[in-house]
Amino acid sequence: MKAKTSPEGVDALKQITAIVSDAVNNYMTTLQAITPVKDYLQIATSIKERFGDDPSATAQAMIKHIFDPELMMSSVKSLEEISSAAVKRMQADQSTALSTLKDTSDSYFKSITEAKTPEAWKSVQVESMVAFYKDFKDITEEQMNTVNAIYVGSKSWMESTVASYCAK
Amino acid sequence: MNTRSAQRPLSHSRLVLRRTVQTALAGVLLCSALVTTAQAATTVEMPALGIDIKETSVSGLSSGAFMTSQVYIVFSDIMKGAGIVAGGPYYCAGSWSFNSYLQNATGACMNPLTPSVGPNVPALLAKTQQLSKAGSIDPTTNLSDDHIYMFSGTKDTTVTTMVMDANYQYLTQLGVPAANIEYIKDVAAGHAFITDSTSDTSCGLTKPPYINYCPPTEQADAIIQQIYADEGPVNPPAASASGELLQVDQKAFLPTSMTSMSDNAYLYVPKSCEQGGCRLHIALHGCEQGYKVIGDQYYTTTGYNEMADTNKLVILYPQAEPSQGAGKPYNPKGCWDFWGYSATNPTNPDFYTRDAPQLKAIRAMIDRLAQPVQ
Repeated sequence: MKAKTSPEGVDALKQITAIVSDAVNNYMTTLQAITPVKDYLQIATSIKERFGDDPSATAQAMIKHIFDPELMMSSVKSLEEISSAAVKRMQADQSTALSTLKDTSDSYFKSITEAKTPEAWKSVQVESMVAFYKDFKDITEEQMNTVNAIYVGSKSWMESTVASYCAK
Repeated sequence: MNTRSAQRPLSHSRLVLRRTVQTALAGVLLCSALVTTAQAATTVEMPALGIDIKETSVSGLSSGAFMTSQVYIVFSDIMKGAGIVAGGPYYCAGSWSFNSYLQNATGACMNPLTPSVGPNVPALLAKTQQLSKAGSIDPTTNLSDDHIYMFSGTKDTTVTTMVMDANYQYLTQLGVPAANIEYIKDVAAGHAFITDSTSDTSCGLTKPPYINYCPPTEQADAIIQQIYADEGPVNPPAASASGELLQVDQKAFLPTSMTSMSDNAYLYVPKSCEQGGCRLHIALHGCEQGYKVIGDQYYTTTGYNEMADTNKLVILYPQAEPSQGAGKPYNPKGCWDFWGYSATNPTNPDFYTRDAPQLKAIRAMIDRLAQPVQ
C-alpha cells in the first residue's frame, strides 16, 4: 500500500526541490564561469598591456626597490587592511549564519509548542524544514561571495604592490 | 431560499443546448482575448521619431548601471547625462590585470574588501584616455557640461557604496564637474530601483524584481530632473502614462547572434512626440529584470513613462535576456555585458568600445530613432 503524502508535504517538497535546484544551478553557474584557458589568455593580455612586453624589466624594477622602506610599509599596511576586512567579513558571515539559524530554531520551537493538533504540528515541521533549507542556501552563497572577494582582493593587492615598485 | 434548488431541472436537450452556447461563448471570448494579446504583443519596426540626438541620456540599475557607464562614456558626443543606480565606473572589470574580467566584475566591482582593492580608478582613467585618443570611444572632453545622478543604498551589499564612491572619483577626475553630480548615499535602500509605489518591495530589502518603495525617493523623476535641469524647469510626472508603449524589433539591430539581447525592446512614445522634436532617454534594466524574467514591470512601473509624458521624452528600454549552453554567450542571469561574455575574441574581449556588440546595437537603435519622421 502506498503511503499518502499530505498537501503540505507535497508543497514543502516542491519548495525544497526548488531551493536545492536553485543552489545547484548557482553552483554550476560558478563552475561554468571558470574557464581557465580563456581566463589565462585574457589575463596575460591585460598584464602585458599594463606592465609591458618585457617581464624581466618589471622584475628588475621590483628587485631594485625591494628594500625600499616606504614602499614596504605602504604595501604591508594595505595588506593588513585587506586581511582585517577579510576577517571582519568572515566573522560577520558567521554571525549572520548563527543568528539566522537561531531565529529559525526559535521560531520552530515556539510554533511547535503552540501547535495544538497533529495537523498543526505537521505543518510546523514542514514549514521549518523549508526555512532551514532556504537559510542554508543563503548562508552558503554569502560565504562563497566572501571567498571570492578575498581571492580577488589578494590578487589585486599583489598587482598594486608590483605596480608601486615598478613606478618608483 | 436556496436559488439552486428553486431552479427547474433542465431536460437533456436544453442542457446540451446551454452547454453548446456556453462553449461557443467561451470560444468567442477566448478568441477575442487572443486577438487582444496578439495586438498587445505585436512587434513593430523601430520607428524614426526625429529625436534630438544631442539631447540623449541614459540610466540603469546594477548591470544596467555598469552598462549606463559604458553607453555614457563611449557615446559622450550625444550624451546630456546619466543616472547610475548601484553601478561601477566604465571598464571596471579591467581594474586589475592579475584578475580576469569576470573576477574583477564580481569581486572588485561589486563588494570589495577595501577601497584599495576595489575599482582601480587611476588605471581606469588611463585606459579611458587611451581609448579616447585612439578614437575607440568619443572624446572625454564632452563630459564637462553633463549632469549625473548617482544613488547607493546604505543597505546595498550587492554593489556597495565603496564602488559608487570610486565611480564618483572616476567621473569627477575625468571632467564632470562635482557641482553637476547629485550623489545620494544616505537612503536605507537595498539593491533596487526606487519608486514611490507602495506595492513595490520594502525599501531595505534586496529581492526580485529589485524595484523598491523608499518614500519620498522616486528615482525616475530624480534622474530626469538632474540630467535636464539646466534646460529649464523639469515638469513633475503625469498622474498616469497616456502615450503608446511599443514592442519594437530589437533583433534587427543586433550585430551578432551572441549578444544575449532579446528579439524585442520596448519604446514609450508620448503623444506629443509622435511628430518628432523630442529627446531620448535610454532606461537599462538590471540582471533578472528583462521582460523574459519579470514581464512588463521594469518598463511600465518604474516611473519613466510618466516623466516622459510631461517632459517631451521618448524612453527606450533595450532588453537583455538569460542565455547559456552550447554556442550561446554565458549570461545565466540576463545581465548587461560589462565583463566580456558577448565578445568573440577570448584574449581581448571587447565590451567597452563602440565596436562592442551590445553597445553597437544600442547605438544603432539611437540612430534609427534620430532619423526624421516619415
